Amino acid sequence: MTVDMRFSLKRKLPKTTTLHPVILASDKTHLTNYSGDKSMHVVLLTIGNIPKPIRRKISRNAYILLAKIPSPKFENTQFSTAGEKNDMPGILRRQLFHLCMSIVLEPLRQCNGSPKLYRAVDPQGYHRKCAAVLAGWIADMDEVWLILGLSPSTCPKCLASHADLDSLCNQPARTSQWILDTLARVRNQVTEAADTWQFVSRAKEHGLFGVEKLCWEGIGVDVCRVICFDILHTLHKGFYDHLFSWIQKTVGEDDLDRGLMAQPHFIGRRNFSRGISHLSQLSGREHRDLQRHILPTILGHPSAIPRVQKAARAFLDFSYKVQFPLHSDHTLALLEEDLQAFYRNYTVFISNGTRELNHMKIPKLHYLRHASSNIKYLGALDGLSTETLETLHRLVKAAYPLTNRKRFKIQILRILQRTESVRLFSSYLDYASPAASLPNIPVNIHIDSDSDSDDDDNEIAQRSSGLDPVLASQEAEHSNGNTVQLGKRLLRGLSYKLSLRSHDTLSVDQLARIMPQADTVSPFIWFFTSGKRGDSHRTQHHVHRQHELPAHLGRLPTWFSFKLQAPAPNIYYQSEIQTVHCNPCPSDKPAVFDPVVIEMDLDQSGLKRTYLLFSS
Amino acid sequence: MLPGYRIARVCFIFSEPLKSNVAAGVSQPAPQNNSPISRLYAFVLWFEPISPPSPHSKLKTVQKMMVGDQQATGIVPITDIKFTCQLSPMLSESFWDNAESQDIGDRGSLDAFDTFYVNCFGGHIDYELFA
Repeated sequence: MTVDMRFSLKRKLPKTTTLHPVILASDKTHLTNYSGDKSMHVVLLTIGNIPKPIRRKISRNAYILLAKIPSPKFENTQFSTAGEKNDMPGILRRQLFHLCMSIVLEPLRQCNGSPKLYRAVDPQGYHRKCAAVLAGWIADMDEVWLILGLSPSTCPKCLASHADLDSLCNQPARTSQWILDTLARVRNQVTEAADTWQFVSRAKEHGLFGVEKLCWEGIGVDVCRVICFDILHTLHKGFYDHLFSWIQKTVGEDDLDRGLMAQPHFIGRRNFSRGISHLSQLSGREHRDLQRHILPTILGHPSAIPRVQKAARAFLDFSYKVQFPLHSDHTLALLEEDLQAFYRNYTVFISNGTRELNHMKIPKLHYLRHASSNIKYLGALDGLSTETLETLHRLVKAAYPLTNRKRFKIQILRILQRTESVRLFSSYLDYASPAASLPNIPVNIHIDSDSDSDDDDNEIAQRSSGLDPVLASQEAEHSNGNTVQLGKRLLRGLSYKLSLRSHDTLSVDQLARIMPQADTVSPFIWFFTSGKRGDSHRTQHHVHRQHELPAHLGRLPTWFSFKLQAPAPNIYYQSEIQTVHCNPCPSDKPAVFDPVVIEMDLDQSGLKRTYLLFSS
Repeated sequence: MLPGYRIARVCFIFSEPLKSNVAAGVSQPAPQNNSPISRLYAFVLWFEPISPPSPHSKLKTVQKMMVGDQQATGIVPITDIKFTCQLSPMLSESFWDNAESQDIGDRGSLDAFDTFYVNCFGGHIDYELFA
């Protein structure tokens, strides 16, 4: 939530009122897999007072399940015509959604133009006068059209019709009031005797879906503005559905597979070592991982002409910058430049025939232009993605198999209510008598130096550091029994983790035999005899001929992997622990030498180019 | 590249044995006792930047630093290693023309090619550093 938004909301409230910016998240989810086709709408709630890093962590339970809205098929309802039979179930489902949501949103409805006030107890035990205001609604595109009552393929943020979607001109902003006024106009145009079908037919002519009573009417907030730009469905899925498929057709499926297979293996990221064409369905994570590889893969291909490269680069720049954890005017201006570069160049896919239609009237690609205004109003979008919501679907899905599948909605509600009560009570027990909770059992985990999962490593690092990350961050050297952590405070936040026991003790001659392709001896003499750093290799060879290897370097304890925790570029990122593999002699495999960045000159370095901290 | 930084591949990590330990016959020093961080080193293969970056993609490029027909090697204190990075090979026209080039595979890719892009899209931190 931006300061502008907070001030504009607080202006309407009495002084000393605590504002609760309510963030809703809704999505349709399937309860059954493979059979049954039963689905529900899930509505979750969180508040903007909870800091974003906590809100984004599923394990912190920042979201609560607010409502589950049935999504019936109306199989037993009779309709008079074939057209009605086809469309009416969908229309009725939408009307049911709005009917249920209007009950859910009742506490947010304003009274005499200002939010309703209520008393709540804060964590310190003080009673506070509070007001809840809808400040964000996380939803995918289909859900957004449902919430706003708009017909699909219109823009939820501006008045662009389908014909205007690829226009570079900016259209006036769509507002809640515009939707309500248009709805009122439709009401005036139909007679009182008109049925739902006739009303919907007339509403569609005005770009509306035809829901007569919208759930958010009267809550005093422009819902079109609080709808969040969704990174998962708009950027990641939009990339895969459109840009990636055009690029794949441009370079050819086989060539793209070959290019992806030639990309180096990198631990902790999805590597497409068998190509992409054999995968029939990809997850959101894979859509994101494809963005990591696609540009360097296609660059040298004869079909990837400069405009294709520029379009891909511009989209990727836009995608990465939208996900910045904090924005400034500078980053928003860069965002705008990238978008314009993308719009200037994406028509290349029409010219080269990979986009079969000769226009770019694609709602998701049009919608990109509203990211910037959304960020200005709602703040950084990385905490407002449906990614969290998709993960939380398991809350609901887990309850369905516990029912007997008959009148399951009531049973699911009962199960969820019990689960919630147990969780709340156990939280209360932790709060009321911390001593009664389970003692902190010292975690003694062997950190396997060949572990493949960096996500797991992050977790292990936190657990193994005595359950107190602050303390660990202040330690210069820290051991947990199997590994030793070196650095951190002394090294400006850097830390290195090595196994306590070296992997092997090897002589320089043995190392030279293991790596016949490299000059192994010269660097030792250059570094330890002459005390020289740097990379003056020709001189290094010269020195080698004149000196012998120092005697104490006869046998060296060597390690073939270590973990590196680099400080995040700024406070808004969490630092990652990454395993660096460096094994010159793995059995039956090529040597593994991971690439790293080495600081050569302290005066010149210092990460002065990062966008957020040192924007120039 | 970032000014003051260089890219390299780490071959192995080693600790410099203390001269006194070697004389006394102590063979296996543990890092927290006898090998403080200042005595840990990395043996690396060097890369050097190619300027300017690729014109349309704006990706920065590096190539293997060669001395004769071998890639240049060096030793750096482990504390000079600041981040990991991702390199992607520059796939030339000869790669695309040669159908057998698919045998390279992801494990041998860094050995098979000589010139690379520094992939700034590897992650959000990579993007902040290298874009």
